[in-house]
Amino acid sequence: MTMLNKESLILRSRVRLARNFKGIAFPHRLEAEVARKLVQQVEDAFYVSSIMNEDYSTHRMWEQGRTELLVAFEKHLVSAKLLNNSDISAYITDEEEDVSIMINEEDHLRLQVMGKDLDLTRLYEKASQLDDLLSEKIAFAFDYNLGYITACPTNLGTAMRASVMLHLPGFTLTDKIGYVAQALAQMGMTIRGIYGEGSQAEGNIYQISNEVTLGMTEEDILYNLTDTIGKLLEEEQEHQRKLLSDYTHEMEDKIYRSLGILMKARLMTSKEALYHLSLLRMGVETEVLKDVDLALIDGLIINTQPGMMRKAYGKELTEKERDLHRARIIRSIF
Amino acid sequence: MDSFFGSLFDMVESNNREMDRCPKCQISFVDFKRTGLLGCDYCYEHFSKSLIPTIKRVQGGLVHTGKIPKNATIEVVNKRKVDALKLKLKELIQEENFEEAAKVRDEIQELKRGLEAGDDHAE
Repeated sequence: MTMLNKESLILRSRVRLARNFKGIAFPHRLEAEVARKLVQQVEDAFYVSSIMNEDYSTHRMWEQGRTELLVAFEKHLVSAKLLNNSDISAYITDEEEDVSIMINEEDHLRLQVMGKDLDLTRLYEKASQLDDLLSEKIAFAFDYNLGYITACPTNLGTAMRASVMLHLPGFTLTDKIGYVAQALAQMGMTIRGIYGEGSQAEGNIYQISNEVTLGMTEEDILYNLTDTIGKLLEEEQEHQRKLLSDYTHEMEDKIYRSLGILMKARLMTSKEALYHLSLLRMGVETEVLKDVDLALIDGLIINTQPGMMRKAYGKELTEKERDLHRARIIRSIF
Repeated sequence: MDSFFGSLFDMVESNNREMDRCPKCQISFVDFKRTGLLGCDYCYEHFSKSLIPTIKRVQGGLVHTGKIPKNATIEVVNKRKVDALKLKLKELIQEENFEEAAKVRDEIQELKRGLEAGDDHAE
């Protein structure tokens, strides 16, 4: 049985660095006026060349509509905390939307670079370059022993959080996610579900990231994550392979039923869509389905979230209207 | 102190500590415990004693070994150099390469002298 490359299990990867201005209170202790001035200061330090002016743009959250905010959130350009601080926060992003510099999140700055594979080092290097550029004009809070100073002690030191969002239906279906969580915790890493609440991650989509930020170098943290996730992906493929060989007809039936429902359904909730899109993704990963593009499935996972639906239809939708439009968007793809 | 008075003393002491506020941002240790967030960079100095157990619990270590800012002071850069050279010195001694070790030791001492001299007019 053939399978796609193990990195096909990755939906997106991200490295973010937290930085704070030296001698200025953290965002949650700032007056709105002072906080908004910091946005200007970051811009002054950032837009130093014509290339920067062309490729990047600033989005002041307090000038944006609710739909724009939600869309930025669903695209992972901004965090929930940045949304929450929308009266003082802003983000600078590039045209490809691979970079997002969040201003006035929990920390003054969160430099985030996103990718789609396990090459976390490349993402870190890009983030580090942006950090170097900004530090030419901004003095960041730094302590010789504690490293980069952050509002929360859990981010001290490198102030770096690297995370990989990945699809683990094999571990989930064989009930082994709990063991993964335990093993990762012992190595200073953590795993959580991305969509849905409670222990069952909707769509079998999880995020793994480093927990420890102080006492290790950036290189060591990234090496550990890359190495561990690489092994985990191989094991996930093993689980998928075994499921497909032990329960060939049952699994194929599940996958094709999901395809059938996605192709024909007239009403679909977000939860149901994630469930079927996950099975479909597994069908592609195991090459049971050969003519479906993974990027399309991942696009649907993002585009059928509430904010994106609002943007597509330009107005507030009722739950029923959303389910109706969601089913329609999905049908237009398959 | 294990005695009754000892624990009473501890209680008063920890109470005082919790009522204490950072002189720069006015946040108290109770505020930090409630929100998990400090108020400013100076809080780490002001509350350093109380924070160490928290940092120990949530982190892998207490000493930063990663990136230093591009615009770091010479003091920080040299301190990092001294730390790296000390490690090197240890390795050389283990390898019984005493000739090289002596050179590294001199280098460390020179950097340290620079650091001490720089204290008076540090940035």
